[in-house]
Amino acid sequence: MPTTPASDSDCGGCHACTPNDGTRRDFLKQGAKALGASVATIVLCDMTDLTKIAEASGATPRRPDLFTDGYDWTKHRYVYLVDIRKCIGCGSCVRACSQENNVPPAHFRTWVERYRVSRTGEAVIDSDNGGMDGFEPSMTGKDITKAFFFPKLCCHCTHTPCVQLCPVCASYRTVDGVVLVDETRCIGCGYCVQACPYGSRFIHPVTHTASKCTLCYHRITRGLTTACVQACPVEARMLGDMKQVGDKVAEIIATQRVQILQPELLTDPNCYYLGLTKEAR
Amino acid sequence: MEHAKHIIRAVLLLVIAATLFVLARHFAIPQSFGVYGAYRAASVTEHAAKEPQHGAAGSCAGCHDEQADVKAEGKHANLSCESCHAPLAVHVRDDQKVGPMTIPTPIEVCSWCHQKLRARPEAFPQVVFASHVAEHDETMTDSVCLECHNAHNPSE
Repeated sequence: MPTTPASDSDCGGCHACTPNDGTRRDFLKQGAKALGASVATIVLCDMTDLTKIAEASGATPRRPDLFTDGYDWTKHRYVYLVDIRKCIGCGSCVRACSQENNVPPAHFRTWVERYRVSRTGEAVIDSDNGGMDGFEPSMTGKDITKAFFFPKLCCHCTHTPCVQLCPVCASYRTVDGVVLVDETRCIGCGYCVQACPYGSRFIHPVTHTASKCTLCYHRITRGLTTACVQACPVEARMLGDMKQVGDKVAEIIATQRVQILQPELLTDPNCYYLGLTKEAR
Repeated sequence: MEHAKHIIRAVLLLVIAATLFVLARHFAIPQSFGVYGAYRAASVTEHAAKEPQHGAAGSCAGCHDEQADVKAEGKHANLSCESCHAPLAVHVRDDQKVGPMTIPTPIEVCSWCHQKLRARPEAFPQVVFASHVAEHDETMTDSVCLECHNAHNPSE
């Protein structure tokens, strides 16, 4: 390729040899300027974000501005307690949850199972409509020696299988210990539904995103208790806060023989049970 | 420097690729992502911003103090009004009445808690509805329970 052109009109006008031709070089120059400017703007914007990250991860974190009403999520760590010995299986919690969170029919964020165990250890388990309509007396045809109601919900695990495998970072655990789903990011792949060993997630039939117990996050951040706890007539369900001095649930966890579901999975659940037996799983 | 042109072209391509990457990254990653962890922090605010449907404990007593007083004296004192009726939000919003409160069907609501079941704790008051109604010479109707019991204070 010639380094010095005979004249402007003799060659094809490539950018290497036509310094004065203008069109392509100008185009590239202007393009480079525009790109440079936009990248600089974006980098500057990201820099301001970086300062936020630095503040958030610092030794004395800035009070989060996620909440408008002065709620500070670093001052709370929620736990849940279910006393199986108290539960009467009325289903008030299931109805309250459904109405509070607009849960679609035949799907449950919390539900109640009825266990009837025979002398041989065989368990007859039923949960008609999640216990929402209460339970009917029925025959099992077995010599039942032990029977109880078993309320279930998301265990809000510390080491959550559901959050770990979400491919789009839609599931996460908040600073105050609640496992939530970002519906705007969820692609509805259902991995988390399969991963949850407690069966507490489902794909919402309308939005086609993962849905689950939020521990009534909109209520607890306003200082209210969850709908299920408020609805329970016998205090079989309790919400606790490990960071509150003298918390009733924290005291029970500290002093009584509480159990968790499927401890062998090392999920470290934050939902504790009183009165579990070996058949309950 | 005979082949400088080639290097310049390669570098130019790299710069364009890097620029496109930064641009794509900027638009693909939500603003608040990564501030507190590998999630969109604004999602927390969205969850917290949802409106509660059930009122705080004691919200009903503001208007219905008469019923609240009756209830407070009986065995249903610890029962939330909304457990038998409906969430407060269907009836009142921002201190304004928006609709009628549900009056439940007594036979259905009472049986949720008081139908005799093997799995219920034995100490909890429960009856076999059919025989209980027959024992008291009543006929089974939707509101047969109210013939003898006051729902707000059932021992009355």
